[in-house]
Amino acid sequence: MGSKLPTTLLRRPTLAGAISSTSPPSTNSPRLSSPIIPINQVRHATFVPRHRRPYQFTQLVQLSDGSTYTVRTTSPQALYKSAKDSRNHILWQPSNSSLKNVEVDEAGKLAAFRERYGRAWDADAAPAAGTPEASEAPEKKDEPAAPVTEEVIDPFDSLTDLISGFATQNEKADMSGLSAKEQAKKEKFSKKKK
Amino acid sequence: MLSAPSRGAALLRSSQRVCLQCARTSTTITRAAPLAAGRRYFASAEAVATPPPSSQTPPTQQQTRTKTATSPQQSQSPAYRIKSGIILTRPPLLTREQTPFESAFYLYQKRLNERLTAPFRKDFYFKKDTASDLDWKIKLKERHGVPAKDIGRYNPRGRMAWNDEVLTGSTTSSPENVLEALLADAEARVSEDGEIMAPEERVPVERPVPRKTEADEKNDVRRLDRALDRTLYLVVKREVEVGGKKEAIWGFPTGLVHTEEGLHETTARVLAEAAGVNMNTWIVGRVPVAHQIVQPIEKGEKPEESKEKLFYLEYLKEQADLKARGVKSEQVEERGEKIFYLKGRIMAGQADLKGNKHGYTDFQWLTQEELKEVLPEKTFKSVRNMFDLR
Amino acid sequence: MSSTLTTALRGLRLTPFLPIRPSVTLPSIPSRPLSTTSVPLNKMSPQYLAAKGLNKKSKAKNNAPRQPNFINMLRHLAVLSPRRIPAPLRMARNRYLRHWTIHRAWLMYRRKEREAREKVWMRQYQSMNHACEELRLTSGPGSRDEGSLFRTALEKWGVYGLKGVPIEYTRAQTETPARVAWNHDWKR
Repeated sequence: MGSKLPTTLLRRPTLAGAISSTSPPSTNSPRLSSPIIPINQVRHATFVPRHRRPYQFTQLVQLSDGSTYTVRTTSPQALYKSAKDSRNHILWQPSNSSLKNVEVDEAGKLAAFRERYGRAWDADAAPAAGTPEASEAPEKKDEPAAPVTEEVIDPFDSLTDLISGFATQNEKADMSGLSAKEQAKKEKFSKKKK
Repeated sequence: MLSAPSRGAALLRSSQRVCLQCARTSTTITRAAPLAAGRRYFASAEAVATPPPSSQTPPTQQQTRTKTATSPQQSQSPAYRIKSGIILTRPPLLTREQTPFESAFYLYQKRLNERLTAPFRKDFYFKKDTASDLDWKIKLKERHGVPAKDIGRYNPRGRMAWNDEVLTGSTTSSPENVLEALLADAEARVSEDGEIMAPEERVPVERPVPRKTEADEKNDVRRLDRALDRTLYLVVKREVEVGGKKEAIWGFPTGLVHTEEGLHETTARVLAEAAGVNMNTWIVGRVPVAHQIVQPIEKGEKPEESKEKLFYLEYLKEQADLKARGVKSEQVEERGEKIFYLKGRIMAGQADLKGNKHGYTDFQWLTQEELKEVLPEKTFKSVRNMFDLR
Repeated sequence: MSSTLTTALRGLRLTPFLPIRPSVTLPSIPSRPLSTTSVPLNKMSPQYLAAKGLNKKSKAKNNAPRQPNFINMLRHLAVLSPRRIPAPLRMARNRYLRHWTIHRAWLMYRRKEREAREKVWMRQYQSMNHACEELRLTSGPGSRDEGSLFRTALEKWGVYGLKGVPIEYTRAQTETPARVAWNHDWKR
């Protein structure tokens, strides 16, 4: 039965293999001690390079979604918590809409920017209906801005009004999940197309 | 594309040629069987009414039936209805359990490794007199000087270096103990200021979720997070009336192949119609993975004796149709069915049978062994060869 | 030991066996007796460098402020040098027998696993082959030719390429499940 399987058919029995696999352990095995001494004895000491392996630990790797697995590693840390991996990256979870347009606004810098320059420079600002009055540049707002989540998007603030009259629908390239190099390439290609 | 005759010839030639090595070991390799009656190596253009010899009823019976067909249109129509089914599977999400031999072997190898690798250099990883350095020192002392956490107490140097094997009955190797040791080590013993934390102050580490989920405990067969280390298969139920009483028959979702469709298109349509669209699925290519031939109901045969034939609603619909038109039962052309199953994978979502046109009333996600109990015998035998290891 | 060595060498040469002296690494001022010309200036000698104040070590010690303690990679990698690596293991007879038994058992275990996997693949392949053979001899629904469904099934449109396999299918198995094991509420 075993001889019909593909890998067993490929294993051609060799004379040397048969002897080494079934030999009793009383003969010197080359794995744990020095090599077998041939009949014409030559005892020059030769340097046998041995494996020089570093110390290894077992580590529990916990992915961002809570699942774990163990690995062998040189790191002495017992538990490694991964913050960003394929389980919460948009490239590997394309159907997960919560990963799109994730804005990590640490220290409130983005909110401050929006307060001063408006939402015109947002990546996903929808182009409003193109009107000539909206071509004025947005003014600096001196009064304190409303919180980011409750801001009413004023159509006259968006700079995309300027170009919406000239731009076609497909101009807006989807830049999610692409590296800076790929984004630049895409822009260049779309520019060429024009 | 090769023409039909040349393709068949090439197949014949290759089947008779073997390499020298295989020719030497000819006892194990079976010769290519001579052409069975009616089997050709090419598909001819003309429609063939006789079924292939591999079917379950003897050929003579079939031939007599086709001969006695009355109307000329019926004699030209093929003897089998063609259907396409979907075997939707959820692949295992977890690795299989470690066997006791595996765990013991891994511990043995780790102990040998302890004897053969370079010693651990703490100074490379921990800077002197930092909080993490103090933390490491405390834990190392508790482990009696062993840097590794999962091998128990063993010193590869000194007079007891020979004693690297654990005694029988030792629990050092079990995966649960290894996990506990790693989680205990992951706890911080020294705060960021360098103060040694008392047992009450220590923050416990987030434990991994257990392998047996809630669905396992309740044995909820409609949920997809049950039996995470096994493959789950979707089966649907149809309730059929047999002689006044209702019987439930389980099977895979199937549907008739329309004239302009390919098998894969039918399968996609059947899946959407039967189980809804709120599932992230992928049908693996276009090639069928299993097939089932359902023989037509014989003249004298009672439907109750062939339960799985009742699963296929088309047959009953056709019978009802013909009866309504007033065609007598003796004149009815009873066709069998050929069902070709395609494999599908589900990655997210859940099946929803609401408003399905095939009359399915319930669904379950079952493992291989549970399928054997639930499916009719002939259906199970048709699909069991496409099952995976687990 | 030396007798065997000399007997081995007898056929070859009769030169005496000389020990190899380690080479002298420190530069030394060559002795030149009875010479009247002045010694040429050796700009690399330690005495010269010390006199000029170009000795790196002393300069670093005295003048520059103490550098931060970087990890010394050489000292870290020195532990992997062949001299410091533990020697190959030597075992007593019974201990070696136990090791050999464990090794053979592991190989047998792996063979069992491999053969089970291959049998499953063989069964799956045969099932597909049989289904395709059946399909090839089937005349399609309605007036379609014999084997036309078979020919459609074996076309390879969209099988290879970037969109051939959805990336969610490439999810790896882990040892414990995620906090939310399965997303039952996924909507298209």
